[in-house]
Amino acid sequence: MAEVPTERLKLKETRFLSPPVVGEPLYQCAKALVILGFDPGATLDVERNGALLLSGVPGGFPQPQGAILSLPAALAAGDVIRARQKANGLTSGWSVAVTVRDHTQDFPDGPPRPQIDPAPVYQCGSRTGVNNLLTGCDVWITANGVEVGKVKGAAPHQGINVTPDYGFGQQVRAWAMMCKDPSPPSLAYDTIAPPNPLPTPGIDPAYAGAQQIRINNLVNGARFELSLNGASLGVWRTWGYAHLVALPAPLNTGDSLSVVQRMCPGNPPSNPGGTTVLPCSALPAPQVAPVQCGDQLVTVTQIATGATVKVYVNHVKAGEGGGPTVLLKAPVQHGDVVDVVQQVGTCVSHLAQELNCLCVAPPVTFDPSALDLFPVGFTDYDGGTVSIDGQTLHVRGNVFYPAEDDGSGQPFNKRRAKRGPVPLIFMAHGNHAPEDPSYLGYDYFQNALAKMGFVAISVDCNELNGNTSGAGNILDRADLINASIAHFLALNGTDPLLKNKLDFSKVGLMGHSRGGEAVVIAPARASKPANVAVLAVLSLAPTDWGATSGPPTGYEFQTLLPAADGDVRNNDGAKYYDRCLPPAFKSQLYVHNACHNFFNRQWLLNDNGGTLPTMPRPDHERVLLVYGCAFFRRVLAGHGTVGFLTGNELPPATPTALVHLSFQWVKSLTVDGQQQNNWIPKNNLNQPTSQSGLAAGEYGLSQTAANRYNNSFYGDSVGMVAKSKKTKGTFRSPLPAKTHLSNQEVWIRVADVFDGSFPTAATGFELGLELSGGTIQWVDSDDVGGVPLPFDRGSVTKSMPSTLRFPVRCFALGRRDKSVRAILLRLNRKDGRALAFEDLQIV
Amino acid sequence: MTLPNDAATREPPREERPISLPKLKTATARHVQQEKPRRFVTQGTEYFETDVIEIDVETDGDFAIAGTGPALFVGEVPVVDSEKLGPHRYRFFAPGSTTLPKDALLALGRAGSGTPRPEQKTKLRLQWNTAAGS
Repeated sequence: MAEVPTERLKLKETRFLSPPVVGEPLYQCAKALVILGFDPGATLDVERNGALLLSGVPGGFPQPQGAILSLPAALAAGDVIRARQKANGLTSGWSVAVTVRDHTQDFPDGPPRPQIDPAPVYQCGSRTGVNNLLTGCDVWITANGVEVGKVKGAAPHQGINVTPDYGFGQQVRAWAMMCKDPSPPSLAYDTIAPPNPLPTPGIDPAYAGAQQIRINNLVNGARFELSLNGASLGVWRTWGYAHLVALPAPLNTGDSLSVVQRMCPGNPPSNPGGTTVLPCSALPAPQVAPVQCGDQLVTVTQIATGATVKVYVNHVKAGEGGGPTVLLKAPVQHGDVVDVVQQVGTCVSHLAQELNCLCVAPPVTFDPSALDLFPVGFTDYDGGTVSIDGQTLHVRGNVFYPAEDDGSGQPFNKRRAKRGPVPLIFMAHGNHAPEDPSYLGYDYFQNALAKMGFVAISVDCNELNGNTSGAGNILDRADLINASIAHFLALNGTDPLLKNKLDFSKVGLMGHSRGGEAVVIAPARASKPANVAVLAVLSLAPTDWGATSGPPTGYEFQTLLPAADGDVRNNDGAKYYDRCLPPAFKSQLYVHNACHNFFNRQWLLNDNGGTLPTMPRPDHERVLLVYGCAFFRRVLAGHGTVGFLTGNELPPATPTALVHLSFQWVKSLTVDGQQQNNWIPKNNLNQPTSQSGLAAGEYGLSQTAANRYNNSFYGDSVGMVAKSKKTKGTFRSPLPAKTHLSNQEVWIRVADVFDGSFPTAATGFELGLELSGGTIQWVDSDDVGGVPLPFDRGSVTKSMPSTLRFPVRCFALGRRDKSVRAILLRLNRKDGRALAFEDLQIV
Repeated sequence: MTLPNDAATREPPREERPISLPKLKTATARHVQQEKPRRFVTQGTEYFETDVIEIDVETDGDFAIAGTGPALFVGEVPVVDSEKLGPHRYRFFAPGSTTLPKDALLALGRAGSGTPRPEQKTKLRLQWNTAAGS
């Protein structure tokens, strides 16, 4: 991706206008819908079941959240909705059609829980934002139980003006309803005194020709007054943070904008903030997310306020809209040149963002940890004592669960309970100072799981913490976890809060450090109660004291390995991943810049002592939340979240560039690897391999194998290490005759082999498909995400494999070329670095 | 008139040191017949022994309380089962059948993450305090 002068590109205009996007999902009874991505100032048509429902409705500005259009009649399940835009004399095609659903299909326990966003709520506040809404629902706000504002037919993130302004110490909640089906109330916020003095608001850079500006640094619920060249344009209420304002006329270079904000009448307004309108020449290029070949859209990540985005493919306009997503005339093909500019009024950015599509560029989709359906109740539990290896240990901890309302000891959520018992997840901390309540350290994870409908239990293992070490300590932890499972089994029979609420056929475990080793063995211990099915195990930075035996089996497995772990320095979870034989899949996250302790809120110190680059604690929590929730949701609830683990999609607001994934589907066809000890000279399909121009050997990729390549491998598998003798050395692995590939992907785990000297740049290779006619189509590893640089730990830097996905669509096979007779690896880099390969699969 | 300028000194930095090992000062071993068999685990398999080697060590500091823990090396043989007796004093346990090399040098390392390796090597040798010592 590069910024290039727009003028040099000789971009060719066409009369193509991108279709807008109908906001999904749409549900029955909605009284409004949202249209996104249209040109600023466009008019919108909406069609329902083939008949025009709305015609020529002014859309206004597409930012920040599209146009919310009120409907003459509520939607019904099965309705098919589409939209188009008209702008600058052009008419777009119709959008992708959206079929209206019954919300109880997706939310059987009622509409999701509204969120007051942004929070907190201040005394004298006049407007509040409410998020997590179903489009077109009704939403209202109460202060001390009295309704103070309501919107019928809401946007997903809706602002609500409140009357009167909030008083001090009022309890504010948001409520929603769809089809007479009420949501749970939002979290309650007590209004607090606003900041005094108020912060000075700001205005984002504004450019000549703009008719929309963005005001920032606003206080929640404030009123702000905007002035242009000293003349007031009026007063607005805001939910805070930032506010987009439509102006009556385009701005001119040098115009002066100023803004002040006010809260309580007795307090002074803020100091004025402002900006001077910049000339057209200052308008920068927009920022764009990587484009995946085959996609028919471009996503802009940053544009000027009120701008139109234009996309050119091979210098011909192929898309135009208001973002953030701009649909294109045709899918982007490998080799296409994509240029993106933005236009404000008549001003076109003098720089264009130019890029080529990548074979694999996963889109940022949704946050798998953000499903917010229920209030969260919590309580401590005490199951008495249990004797484990002669020690009398307390069976205790805390439990978070979906509740009627937030707080300690709240009743279990009745609607959720009525639908049947819910899956459980038990968490176990590791060894730490016994005076610290380590079991409280995962409350953020428990809360996230409970609000989406799981029961999340954190087991207090403190009586096993301290200075006792050895594998026996791990067995004891496993038995203590199982004792808590047994206790909850008993509660499920008799407890007033939890009776018949718990589904022991769907149990997950999460363990950290010594707890991470314990959860690997707990399901196989005799102490595990009968009729309890552990389906999912998340092993976070696990130790290896030797408590495990043979491959972890019987459950889906995920391990998270902090690359900057200063305690469990060997990242022993890599061995568990390699050995694991799960029913369906296993997942590994090797997280650069992550230390051991920052996943637990009670473990305050960075265990690597700051000697290694370490991301902030919130990023640690974010990684565990996002990928842990994706894992448990997939296994225990059947949700569509596995794409985050395979790398097909990315979560938002997460340091994904630091997270290196390995993933394996058990039932995929393994061409070579998987500890079959036969990379060379035959592959798993019993086909003879061949090599030329490189030295390839089969090695134990571990610390202990007799035939290891070097000491940089910390897992426990067998694979191939290849080093090119000359550029373009190749390794060929044949497939059975008449192997047809079309929509599949070729997956391979690969690591840059650390040889004692840290590489100055990432290396790579090419993967080729040899067609039945003998021609070979190659795709470079850089085109599918690239071979990661190792995480630099000096002399103990690890060669840690991660999975690269090569979609067959990237190989540009012709219709008659689907028959593939071999997969080839070509080491084509001049750096001559050795690469380790394992688990070559067709998925 | 004094201006209201505070002159508090900087807060001490948080103790963020990588996990380090204390130095070994003494190590004394003895064979013990335990009334209650002691549990040992090898590759996930539990077994119980009444004949146990106990090695009491004294160090110049404490081991960090963490996921990993102390390992005492007698020559090349690591002993990883341990508990703390008091400040700077630890007891390691090995099955009585363990062959500990005579006159081997002692070292400390960390167990619980991969194969333990001697990290803090010493010139000390194991002292046996009973005639039953091997």
